[in-house]
Amino acid sequence: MIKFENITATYTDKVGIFNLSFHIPQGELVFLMGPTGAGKSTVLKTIYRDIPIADGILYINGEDVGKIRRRHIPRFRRKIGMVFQDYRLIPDRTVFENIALPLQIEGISKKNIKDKVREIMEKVGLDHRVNNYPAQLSGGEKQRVSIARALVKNPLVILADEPTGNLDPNVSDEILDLLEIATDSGAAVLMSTHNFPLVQPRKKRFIELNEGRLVTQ
Amino acid sequence: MITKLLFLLSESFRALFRAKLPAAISSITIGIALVIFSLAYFTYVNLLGYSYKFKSKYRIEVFFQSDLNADKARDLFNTILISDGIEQGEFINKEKAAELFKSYFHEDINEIIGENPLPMGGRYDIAVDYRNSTQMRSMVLDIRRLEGVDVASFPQGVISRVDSIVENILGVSMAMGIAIFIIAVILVSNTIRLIIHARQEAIETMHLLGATNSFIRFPFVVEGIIQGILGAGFSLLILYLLRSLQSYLLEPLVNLPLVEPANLIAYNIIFGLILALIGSYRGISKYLP
Repeated sequence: MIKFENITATYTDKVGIFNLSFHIPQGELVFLMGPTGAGKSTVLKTIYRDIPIADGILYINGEDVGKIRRRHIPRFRRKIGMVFQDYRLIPDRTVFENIALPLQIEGISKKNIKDKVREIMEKVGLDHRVNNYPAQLSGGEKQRVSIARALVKNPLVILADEPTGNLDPNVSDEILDLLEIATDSGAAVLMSTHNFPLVQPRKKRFIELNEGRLVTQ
Repeated sequence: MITKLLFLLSESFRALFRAKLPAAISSITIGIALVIFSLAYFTYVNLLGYSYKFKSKYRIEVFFQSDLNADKARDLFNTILISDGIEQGEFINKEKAAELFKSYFHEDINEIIGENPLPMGGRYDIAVDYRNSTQMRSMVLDIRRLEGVDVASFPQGVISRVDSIVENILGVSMAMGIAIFIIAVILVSNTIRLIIHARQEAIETMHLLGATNSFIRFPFVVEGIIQGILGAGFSLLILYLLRSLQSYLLEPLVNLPLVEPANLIAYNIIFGLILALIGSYRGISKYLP
C-alpha cells in the first residue's frame, strides 16, 4: 500500500529524509516515531507530494509517486485521507460542510454526499454537531471532524500528522481508536507522533526516525 | 460536473457575502470608473458629432486664370472634381461669381467698374476622410500645380486649430481613460488579494484535500463577475441620475442638442466585466499561479 524504496527527499542538502525504506500493507496502522526534527512530517509530505523525491521510488497503491505529473497531484491527493495536528478545518463552514468538502471537490452528487457524511458523522460520534462551526467545538471534537473528513472518501491511505499533539490523554486514546477503526476498511494508516507512552499499549508496529534516517522498524 | 458547478456557484455567492465590505468597495470602484468612462465616451461622441458637422463645411476654393475660356474652365473644373478627396463641387462661372460678389458686398461689380473681371472657378466639398489640415493642404498643392489654376486655398488656420483642439481633447480623454482603467484594475485586484489572503489557510487546506487551482479559482472569478455587474448597475444608476439632473437643470437654460450614445448599458456591463475579470485574474495569480 505504502512502499518506500531508498527514498531521499530534502528541503536543503542537510534537512530531510535519507535513504528510507519501509512498507506498510493494506489494513495496518503504523506509528512514525521520533523527536522533533527527525523527519516525520517530511515522510508524510513526501507521500502527498508536497516535497519532491530526490532519489528512490515511492509506491502508493502501486503507483510510482515520483512519476506523477504536477497537474495530476490534486487527483492523486484525493486518494489520501489527511489528519493534521492543527485540524485544518475551515472556520466559516459547519461540521457537515467541512466533512463534505472532499466529496464536493470530487464532484459527488448532493444526495450521496448527504448520506456519506451522515454515516461517517455517526461513526465518529458527531451526529449531534451537524450545524456547529469549528469554533464551537472542543479540541477532541475538532480532531474527530478532521478524521471524519479524511475517512469520508474511503481512502486507501490515511496520513495523520501528530493528530493527538494538542489533545489530552483520554481524547488522544479515542482518536487512536478511530484511526484503528479506519484500518478495518482496508486503509493503511501512517500516524506520526512523538508520544511513545500513548502508542506503546497499542502493540502496533512503529518506524523510528532520527535526523531523517531510519533507526528501527 | 453539474453538482460541482452548482457547489462552486454557491461558494461564489457565499464568498461574496462573507467579504461584503471589500466586495462593495470593489463594485463601487468599478462603478465610479465606469461613470467616468461613460462621461468620457459621451463627450467623445458629442464632440465627434459637432466636429463632423463643423468639418462638413470644409471647402477648397479655386480661382482659374482670367484668360481661360468657358469650355477650358469647365474641363479644369471637372479634372479637379474627379481627383481624390473631393466629394462634390460647384462650378462658378462669371455670372455666378458676380452674384456671389453681390451677396457678399451688396454691390454689382458690373456697375462699379463697367465689366465683370471676376475669374471663373470652383468650390469643392471635401470627402470625410480628407477633412483635416494635412490632407487638404496636400490637395491644394496638387490643384495649384494644374495648368490654368490661379489660386487654390482653404481656411488652413481655422482647420488646423479645430484639428488640434479635437486631437488634444481626445488625447486627454484617452490618457484619463487609461489611468482610470489602471487604477480600477489595481483596486479590484487588491480587493481580491485581500479576500484571498484572508482565506489563505482555507485555500491551503483545499489544496491538500485535492482541490485543483481552477476549483479554488472559480469562486473568485465568479465573485469578480458579480462585482463587475454590480459596478455596471451602480454606474448606470449614477448616469441616469446625472441625465435627469441635466434635463431638469440645464435643458431649460441651454439649448445644446446632445447625442446619447447607443448601447451605453451594454458597454457598461462589458467594461465592468472586463475590469472585474482583469482585476480578479491579477489578484488570484499572486496566490494561485
